[in-house]
Amino acid sequence: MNRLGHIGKENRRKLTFGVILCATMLLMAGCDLFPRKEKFDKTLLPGYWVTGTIHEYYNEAGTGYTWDTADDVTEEEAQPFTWTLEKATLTQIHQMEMGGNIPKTYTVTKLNATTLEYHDDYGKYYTFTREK
Amino acid sequence: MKKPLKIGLISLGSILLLIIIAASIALFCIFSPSKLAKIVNSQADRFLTCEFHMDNAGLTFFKTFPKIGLDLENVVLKNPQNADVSDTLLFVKDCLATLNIRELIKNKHAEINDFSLENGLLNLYVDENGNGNYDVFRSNDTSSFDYSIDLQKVKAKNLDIRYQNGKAKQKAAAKGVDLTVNGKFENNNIEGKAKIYADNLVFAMKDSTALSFSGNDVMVSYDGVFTDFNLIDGNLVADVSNTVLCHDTTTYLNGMDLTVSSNLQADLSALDFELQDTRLKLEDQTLDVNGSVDIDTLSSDIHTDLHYETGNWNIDWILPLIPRSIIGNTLDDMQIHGTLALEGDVKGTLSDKETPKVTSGIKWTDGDFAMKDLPLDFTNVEGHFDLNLDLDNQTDLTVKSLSATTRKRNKITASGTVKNLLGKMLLNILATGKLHVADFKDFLPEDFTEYGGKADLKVNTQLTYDPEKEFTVDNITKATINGQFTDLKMLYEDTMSVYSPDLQVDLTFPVTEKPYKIDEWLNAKVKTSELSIQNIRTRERKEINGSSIQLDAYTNNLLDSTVDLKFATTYKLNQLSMWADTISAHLSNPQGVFVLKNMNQMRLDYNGNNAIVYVSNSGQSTSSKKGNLIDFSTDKLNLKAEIDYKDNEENPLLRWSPVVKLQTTNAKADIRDIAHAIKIPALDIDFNPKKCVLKKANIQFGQSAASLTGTITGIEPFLHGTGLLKGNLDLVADYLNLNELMDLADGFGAPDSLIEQAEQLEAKNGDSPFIVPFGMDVNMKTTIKKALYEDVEFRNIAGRVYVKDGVLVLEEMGLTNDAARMQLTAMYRTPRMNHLFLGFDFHLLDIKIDKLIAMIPEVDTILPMLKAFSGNAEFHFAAETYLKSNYDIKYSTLRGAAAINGHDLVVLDSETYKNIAKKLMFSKKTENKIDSLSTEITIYKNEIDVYPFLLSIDKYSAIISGRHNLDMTYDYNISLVKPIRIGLDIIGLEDKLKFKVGKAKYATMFQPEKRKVVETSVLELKTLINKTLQANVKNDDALTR
Repeated sequence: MNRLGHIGKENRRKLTFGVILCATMLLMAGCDLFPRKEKFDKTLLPGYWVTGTIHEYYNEAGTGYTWDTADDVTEEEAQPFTWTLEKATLTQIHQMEMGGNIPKTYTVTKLNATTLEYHDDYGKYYTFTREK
Repeated sequence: MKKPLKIGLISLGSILLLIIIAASIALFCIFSPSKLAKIVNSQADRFLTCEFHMDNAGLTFFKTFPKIGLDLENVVLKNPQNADVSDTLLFVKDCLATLNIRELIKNKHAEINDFSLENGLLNLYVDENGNGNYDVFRSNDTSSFDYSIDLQKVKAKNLDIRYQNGKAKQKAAAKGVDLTVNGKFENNNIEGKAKIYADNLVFAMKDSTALSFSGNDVMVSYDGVFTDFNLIDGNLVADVSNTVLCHDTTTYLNGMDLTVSSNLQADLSALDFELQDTRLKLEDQTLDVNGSVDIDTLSSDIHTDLHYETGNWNIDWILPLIPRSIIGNTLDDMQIHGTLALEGDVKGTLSDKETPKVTSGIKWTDGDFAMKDLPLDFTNVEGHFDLNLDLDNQTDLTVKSLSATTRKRNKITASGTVKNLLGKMLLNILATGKLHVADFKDFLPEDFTEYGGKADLKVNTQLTYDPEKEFTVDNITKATINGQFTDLKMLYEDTMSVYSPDLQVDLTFPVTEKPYKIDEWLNAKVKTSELSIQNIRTRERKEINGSSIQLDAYTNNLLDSTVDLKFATTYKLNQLSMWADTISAHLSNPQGVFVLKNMNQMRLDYNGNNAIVYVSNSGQSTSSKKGNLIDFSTDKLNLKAEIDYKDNEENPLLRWSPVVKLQTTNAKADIRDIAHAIKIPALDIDFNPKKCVLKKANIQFGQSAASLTGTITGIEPFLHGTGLLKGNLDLVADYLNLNELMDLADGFGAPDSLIEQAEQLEAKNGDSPFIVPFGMDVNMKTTIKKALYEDVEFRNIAGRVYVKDGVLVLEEMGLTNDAARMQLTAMYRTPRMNHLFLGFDFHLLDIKIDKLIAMIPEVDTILPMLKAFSGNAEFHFAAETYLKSNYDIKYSTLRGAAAINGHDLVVLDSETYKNIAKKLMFSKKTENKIDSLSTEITIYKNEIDVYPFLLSIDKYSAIISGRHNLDMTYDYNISLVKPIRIGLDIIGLEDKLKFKVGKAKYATMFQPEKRKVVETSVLELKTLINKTLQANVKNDDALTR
């Protein structure tokens, strides 16, 4: 307590400012106030991707379909979606046969000729391998 | 005939005259024969124009004692006229006459009493000009010789008489003629008895009436007068042996013994004959004749007016006497036996142009009859006929009565007429019979192998018959057959027994009326109190049993093998029951029309009461007990059906191509595999392969009662598998239990592969998902007051239901219940058994949240926080997923979106709310009212994402967003933006939630000027979700229809 008592007013303000600045920077960094997203090449996405029993097929025209063989669904019975990839944001809008749209947004973390990785905001991660 | 007689008599008179002259001369010459002969010869020229000669003439007392007789020898008269004919007119070897000497001496009067001739020849000839060689007496005789002929007895022995008339073209000859005449011959008048015998007699006419007669041992006796050599009045009896009578080329009698007796009156010059008590006896057969015969002296025509009556003639004897020229070959194919008795008249002229008409009443007794082509023979024939024989025109036969026995024990009678008996006959016959049906098996269809019972038949037939042609059915002009069968039994192909106790059959053919235009030929009216058909191999049941049956049937010509059967009938029964292997039907009061136009086209009109059909799954439906597969009944059934059978059509229904009008009243179908009976109080359907019109279909099934109307088309493509069955229906119902109805419609029309999958799944897992009917495109407008689905009851349901090729769609179905007004669009289809699609678009307005959760518990899963609120909300929810065969959701296919808009809500004071309020440092005085709530939710697989929405409670405003999974793990964030910005994360399982204070995730989302890019993007997605959700809400009316 005594040592703190020897800091002058000026210095105390500077110290306080520095702490606040550091805290603010730390807070901002923790809060991802300046997120930096990687930009992925969308031309790598079209193709047939598989993870486990989940199958996704992306067409170059921005359409695709998905099916899960664990539920005894075949490719012919796959359900359609449209997709966009902006930087690292992959948006799938799944189209309902009855006419509705179900948007799903993911963050791509890896996309190359063989691997597609993305996750959503709720911590669900997917790693696909290109099949063909 | 008169001329030969007259000429004979004149010649006889001439001879007598010569004898008288000779006798007188003898007396004068003192009985010297030479002198007498010389005198006679010399004196003959005074009396005769022809040459006369005799060898001797003498008196005798010994031959004629006590009278004196004049005996002449070798008397010859010659009068040559024709070189081809002998010039001898008369030759008599011995001629004897008795004279009254006393009268001759005292009064010089020659009186001849007896006269006899022996061994002579009389040759009479008339040339073409009518000049006879017998005209030899001088007319200017001035002799003072007084004589008279007082014949008392004339005898002739062994005379030959020839007669030839060149003008009349007649010839006659008699050989060995013996003649005895006892009587008085005076002044050209003869009275007495005469007997004439000839060894042989021949007579022939060769003019237009080519008649010939011959006989042996001809004995003619006559007792009467012969006046002026012309008039005959006496009794004539003639016996002729070996009689031959011919006319033209026709032989009437051939070698018969003929006896003729008659009280005869005749005018020989006029050739008029009057016959009384005339009897012709031919062998043992008699013919009595009365009447007159007049022969025209100029034309030789014979005019007859005779009445005749026969004795009992033996047909076997008499028929051969009928010349073929008359009878033709009519009798060739007949066998006729028995006794005939005829009585009638012969009137008319016999000439080369005419034939007398013969009428005859014929009695046929003890007869037998058989005829080729007639497969019946008859015995005990008793008949009474009238025959009008008119060879120039038409011969008719009237059957006044005819009775006979055929095939031993069958009695028949007949009456009628046969026109033109000797030509192409026209028969009109009424026949009756008391028959044993079994005896006539060969007349009946061969398919029936046994017959029994009796029949009273009445046959009225008009037909033609030409003996020159084969008899066919076309010969029948009109026939009616009335048959009353008693205890009729028939056995069909040794299997099916047909029985009727009293069958009345009335047949008419050919018919002129054509009510059905099927070339009607036969009309059959059938009536019976009972008809049963039974399989004798399975006697425990009948196949068909009917009562009070009436048929009025027509067919085309059944006997024409070149045409197919056509058949039409009206029918009326009191009751009809039929049993097949697995089906039995019981019909009350069926009546209507059945038409078989040809083997491919038929029509059925049916009206009836109380129709019942039982269908079993085995061949044991043998009684009237209910079947165990289908029981169908109806109080009233009206059916009009037409069938056009197409051989090349594979589909059974289209092969029959039915056109049906069906009306039922109070019908009921109880089908074993269906939980409830299908009741149809009223049904009115018009059906054809192209179109089915449901005019009225009131149907009750379980708790459901509905009225269905509309039109179904595309039946033909549907059955061909090339198109959909299309329907446009209106369904009006007071109540529908959709659970029951879905069970009823389950799997209708599904592909075999799908059915097979269903059966396998059910067998394996017990799964039996509802399979939407395939192959149809049915649009049904529904107006339903109440409907039950699962456990929820809906009211005022209005909208459309589509079933299209395995897809069931409820379109904009407006409905209400206690919780809300709703609009539902739903789709269900079954591409395969373990991949069932279910999608719906559901809008609920003004629904109380607690009611919403109660009605749709899945809402609590989608938005668990909702149960923390109380109040009204508006709920829009669209979702779709594929299901497993047990209806488990395939979460990988689950897609959904929901929007909930609430207002004037109250936050319930739950434990969760308390935790949130505490963490966010809500004032204890915070009022828990919420003005509004508007949120969008998406469902993807098992992830339920709640998009950020703003919630204002009292002075606090918070933005809530997050995700929970269907395993009820939560990851939510509440961003308190007013009065301070602070965030609260709610994480974990529902019952173990962790509350962690953190940053506000969407602090500026609802502050446009400060909104971040990500927030903007999220809002856009919210808008996208909301728009697509609400786009299907048509209007408020749609929800309240």
